Amino acid sequence: MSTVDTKGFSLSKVFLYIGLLIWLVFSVFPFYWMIVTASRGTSSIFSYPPHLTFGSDLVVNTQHLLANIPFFRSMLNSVFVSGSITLLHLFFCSLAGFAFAKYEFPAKKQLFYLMLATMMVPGQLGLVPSFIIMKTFHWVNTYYALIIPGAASAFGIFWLKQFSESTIHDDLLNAGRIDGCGNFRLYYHVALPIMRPTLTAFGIFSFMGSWNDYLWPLIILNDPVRYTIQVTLSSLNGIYFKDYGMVMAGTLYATIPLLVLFAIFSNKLMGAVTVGAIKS
Amino acid sequence: MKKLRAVITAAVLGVSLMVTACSGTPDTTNTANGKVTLKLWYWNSSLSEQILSEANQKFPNVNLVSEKIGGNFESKLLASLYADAPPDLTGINSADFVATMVKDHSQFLNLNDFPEVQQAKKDYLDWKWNLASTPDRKYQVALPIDTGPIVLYYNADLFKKAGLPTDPEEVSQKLKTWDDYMAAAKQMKEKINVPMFDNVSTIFTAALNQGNEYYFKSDGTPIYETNPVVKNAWNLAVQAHQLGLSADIQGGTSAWSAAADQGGYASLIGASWMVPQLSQSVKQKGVWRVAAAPGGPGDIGGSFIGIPKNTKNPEEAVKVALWLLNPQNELRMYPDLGLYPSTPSVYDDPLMNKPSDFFGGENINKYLSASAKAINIGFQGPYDNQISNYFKQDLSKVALNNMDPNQAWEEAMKKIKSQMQRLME
Repeated sequence: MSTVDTKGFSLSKVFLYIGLLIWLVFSVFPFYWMIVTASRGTSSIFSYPPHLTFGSDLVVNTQHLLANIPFFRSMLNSVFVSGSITLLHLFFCSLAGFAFAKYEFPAKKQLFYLMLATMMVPGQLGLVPSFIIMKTFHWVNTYYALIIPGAASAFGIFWLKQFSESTIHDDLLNAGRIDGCGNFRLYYHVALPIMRPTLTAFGIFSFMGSWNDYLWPLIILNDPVRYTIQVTLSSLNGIYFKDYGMVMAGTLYATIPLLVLFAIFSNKLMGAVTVGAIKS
Repeated sequence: MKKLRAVITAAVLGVSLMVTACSGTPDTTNTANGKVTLKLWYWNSSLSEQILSEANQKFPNVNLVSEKIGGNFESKLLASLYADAPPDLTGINSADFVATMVKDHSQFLNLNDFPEVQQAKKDYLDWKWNLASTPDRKYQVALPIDTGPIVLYYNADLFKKAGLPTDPEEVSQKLKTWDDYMAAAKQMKEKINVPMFDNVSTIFTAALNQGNEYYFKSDGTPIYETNPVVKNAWNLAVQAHQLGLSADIQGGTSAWSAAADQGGYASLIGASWMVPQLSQSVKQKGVWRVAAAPGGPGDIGGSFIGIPKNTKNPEEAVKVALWLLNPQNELRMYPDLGLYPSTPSVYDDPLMNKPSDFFGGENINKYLSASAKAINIGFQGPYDNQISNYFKQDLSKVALNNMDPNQAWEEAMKKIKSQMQRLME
């Protein structure tokens, strides 16, 4: 870890900061642009040269938005769905990842590869079969159809297996066993605390993933009262025409929960990136 | 750690609250108070909300629940059809979407079985009606909502500077054919060095839709390689590029809108529903005008309402659909939403013939209605849009990367053939 000189002025540091600054501008600009378009009317968005400053139509756009869609209800739905998926996802993936990493059981390898194979199948391909399964369960137009299939993922299990393998030492587990821990307590009291930083990062990713999911909720939900925010927002698009200001205002508000989540967990997220270096 | 725990606890609490709140929601598909509930899926602004709400007064025994579906409408509908859980009425877009539904017509009620539909048929444009029926005309899958007759939109200021006529009537007279249009485009370039066309895709789409045969014959025989209509559309687009007559600005972008406003190109052939896009893009009124499209009439876009066969109340569904789309209601959707009616009897109505401020006080319906009535449409297959997209992709390689046109044609052909082989199997 000697890439950055922490003392005084150095040329490489200047370059580093210039590079980071450019990167910052590029990554922040789309978000800035979203706020700009959300605060302008459609004809003003399309004017040339483009206006780079905030307009005065944010309130109007917001009013249109609230008049056209049940915005708060949909946000609540999304928080509920994504929150449940994330909690279940963290639980099941860490449990399975831990098991794959630290236990020996029959056909372990085969099961693991079988699971990885499901990652190779594009999700769209399973759309109709999944829909038929949900219909058989009478889960169409319910949140079960969104939450239960999202409760575990091959990618998550793979990620947490790799992490458990490199960070959870067998000695620790054996110590736990001597103290009388059963398997679940080993998971809960030994493995889980070690996995926590990664779980934070993984939780943010799963929340983002399910928050932004569009196609499956669109297909499975039929009652506008239950729509998640992405489905509701897309219903704003007209057949030939879009009120960009209104759509962008909605998109802007829909990203706020993600930003809040990131703000709360950001220091833990950074911890997750460096934890390997500190522990071993 | 405490904070994390608090957050998680709050989330779990929220979750349980929501679950209890949701389990109380009544199932809207049930019949309530002796009323028949009909569910309708449609695109936002493809039907008038006002008229939809009036339907409930018009039919006191019907509770019409309409839901706006955004992107991926077709995926949602297909999944629901295969799972036997479709809505009672559904919007169906033109081109691939309606052609796919016609191919899968067994999923829908045959509207020809209803005498009131047979009776209403005469109210609609023949060609539009036929887009939603099987080639033998025995099975009618859907009823027409709006249509998209094409016209020429042009910047009269630029036409004047280039020494071209500016009056819609004169423009329509002078630019009758694509040859005339190309000649005018050359003149425009020589005199004031402004491209006549916005991009080559617009040219290809317009010229293709002016034909009456596209990529397949109605029996499914592929003709995309040999059909002179396709080749002609391709050649016109290539020619416009080679002579430097296209601005090469992609449609639907802010650059396109800016160029329309700033005189970046002088004209385009587009459907009736381009009007709101143009009028939102261009600040100054009276600059853009409408004339007849060089090369003849054509149709782009428009939609339908179909009734999936699973509906429990076919009689009511048909009655409601017929009422929603009767000529008077189609008429009302034109001033409100810019949806051009499929019912020619209303084309002479004063509501449709108001002078347009944006187009310099012109009655643009004169050219729209002439185009709509004269359209001679051919068979559209379920894969037409996909094929068009391949052609347009390779056309933009010609336009933007100066790819050799023959090589581009070969490349498009190769992609289309392998794709069709996969789909037809």
